[in-house]
Amino acid sequence: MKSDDFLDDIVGGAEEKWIREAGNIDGNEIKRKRRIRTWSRAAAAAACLGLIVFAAFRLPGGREPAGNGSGAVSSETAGSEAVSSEPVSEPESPAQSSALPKVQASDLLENYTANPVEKKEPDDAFIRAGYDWAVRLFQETYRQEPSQKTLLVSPLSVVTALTMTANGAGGNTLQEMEQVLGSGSLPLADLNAYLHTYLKSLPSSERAKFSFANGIWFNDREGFTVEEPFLQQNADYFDAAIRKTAFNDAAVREINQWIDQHTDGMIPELLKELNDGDRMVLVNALAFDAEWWAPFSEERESLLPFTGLNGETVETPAMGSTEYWYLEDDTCIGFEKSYIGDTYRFVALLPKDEEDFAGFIDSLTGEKLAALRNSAAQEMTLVTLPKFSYDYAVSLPEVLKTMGLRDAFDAARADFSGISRSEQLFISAVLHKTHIDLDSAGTRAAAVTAVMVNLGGYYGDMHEVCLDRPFIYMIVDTAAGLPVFIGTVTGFSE
Amino acid sequence: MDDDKIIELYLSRDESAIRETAARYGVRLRQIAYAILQDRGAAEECENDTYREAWERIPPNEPRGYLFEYLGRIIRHLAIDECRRAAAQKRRAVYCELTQEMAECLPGPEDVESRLEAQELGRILSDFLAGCPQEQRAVFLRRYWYFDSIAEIGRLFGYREEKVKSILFRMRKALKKRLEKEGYTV
Repeated sequence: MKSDDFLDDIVGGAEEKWIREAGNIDGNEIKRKRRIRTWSRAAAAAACLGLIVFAAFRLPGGREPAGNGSGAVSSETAGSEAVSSEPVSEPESPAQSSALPKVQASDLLENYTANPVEKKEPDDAFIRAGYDWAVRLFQETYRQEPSQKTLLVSPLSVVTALTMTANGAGGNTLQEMEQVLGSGSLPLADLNAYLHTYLKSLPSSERAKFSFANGIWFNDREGFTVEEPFLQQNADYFDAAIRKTAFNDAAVREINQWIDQHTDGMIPELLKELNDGDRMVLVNALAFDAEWWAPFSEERESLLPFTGLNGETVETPAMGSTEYWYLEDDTCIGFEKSYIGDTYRFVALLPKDEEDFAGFIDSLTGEKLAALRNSAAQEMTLVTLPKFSYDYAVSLPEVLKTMGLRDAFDAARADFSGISRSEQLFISAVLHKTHIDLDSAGTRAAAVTAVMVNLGGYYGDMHEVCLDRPFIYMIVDTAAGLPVFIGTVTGFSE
Repeated sequence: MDDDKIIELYLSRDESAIRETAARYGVRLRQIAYAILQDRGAAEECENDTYREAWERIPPNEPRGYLFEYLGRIIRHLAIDECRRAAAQKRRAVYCELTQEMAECLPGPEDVESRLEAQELGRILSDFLAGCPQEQRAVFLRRYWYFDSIAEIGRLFGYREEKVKSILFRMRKALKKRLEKEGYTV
């Protein structure tokens, strides 16, 4: 037998259970457990995003915590910037990571080893609720965004951090959280199980990387105790790193360092300070870094006259390509473009009504967005897309209150007795920070470019989508199809 | 749609079985083919051929409980066949690299064919993998079943590439030893 026969027939015939086992390997879990940072920021990456959801708890009557409003967040405003060439740091080896200053706090993770929990594969109920949640969060954030209206949120990150928090909620506080986070159809137990399974199922590869991490810090102040079931639940379902520490400058540095690490350096700082009243900080961090599967053609780079929401037209660097997934319904046209391996796709939607971008956003529903994506037609589409790069930071309490999450933010009504019975807690801040950098970079262009050339004969039948005015975009996973990120580009500065 | 319902569609000769299969497993199947072929178009061709073959094989086969693994085997085999056919060396590069690695622990062709049936070799490999720690077994299969690159495996498991190479080297060596123990002269 030749070695290739062995590879084909014998290894190919390996038992199903092991094929499944290897196929379902959860890299994020392995890496997190080893506390090794393995990612680097690839210079060739076409898009990289990082975001944080931060929920800080404080005592009623305490001072406003660092996280109130945008005070704790570096106050970058939504992206009216044209392409920025961010310096790319050298890839960091695990050895370099381990050289970082060590965490000062008592690491309690070992006391909360994750127990096996019920899995719930994404099904129609979860996907429907996921789309509803994503659209409502996006719409409400857009409505409350005061100026540029260019924004980027991660529905997945926000729902993860808030579900972790909901594990300590009771009474009406819990009911409201279930209603909002589960879109009225998923109780907390289901949310835990779905998110646990879904987060672990999101693929990550060398050239289409995705990672997430969850962390809980709580104040070691005398007299403040945290309920063990709350911590265990979050260790079980979210593999949360749990740390007890004095809430001082060292803790701020530690949390920022953790955030920096788990956003692959894209969000180096979130917290400015922690105050006396702060009792707990819950963080979810996601990072996405992928190359386009079919790169943009250098020959089709241009300056695109982009007419922003304010009516001003600014020439901005843009790129062109031919895509194969065309989207259209009665309100918009758009396209989908795959990242390497087609595990994630970039989805852009351009409203047909050039005058009413806000009306288009208002008209969206989860059902409509899901239907639009499901109707994607494999038709050639000539695409022009501006390059863009921006940071976005938003304080979400008002958005969430409008969506129906009221008691959790009310010092007098909040019930987080599942977190602590020693003190009355409420959510004082939910901070969300994102970063995106989208350009034409990519490697291994030749093979895919050839496909484009081969199909050039159909040029006459092509659709055309030119994103030269405000548009919506999403990064979706292709398995469940849910938006991991959703944002807008509404204008560029000179 | 879950696996059982998809299989029912095949059994009742409902052509929507193929659409449902593609919706559920298309991306993962394409990934397997792409890892081997490094060519998007060829990977898509293999994917389509996989659906056709599944249509022809189910029935009589009823891969309940292991539909993905069943389809994965088909596409893997098709992609390897395509590698063998492809004249362009670049398309074969990944595959050649892997067969050379595998050759380290295998006997010459005449030896195997004369002494051991493929079925017996399969049993030895199964026993071998069963005795490996889970992570090492997964590394082995990610490399030789899924055809992941060393770098990808390193990323997945949080290892440096040198460590992945080292694990694979040790496993090939152990497999060779195991084959020898089974009376097989390497």
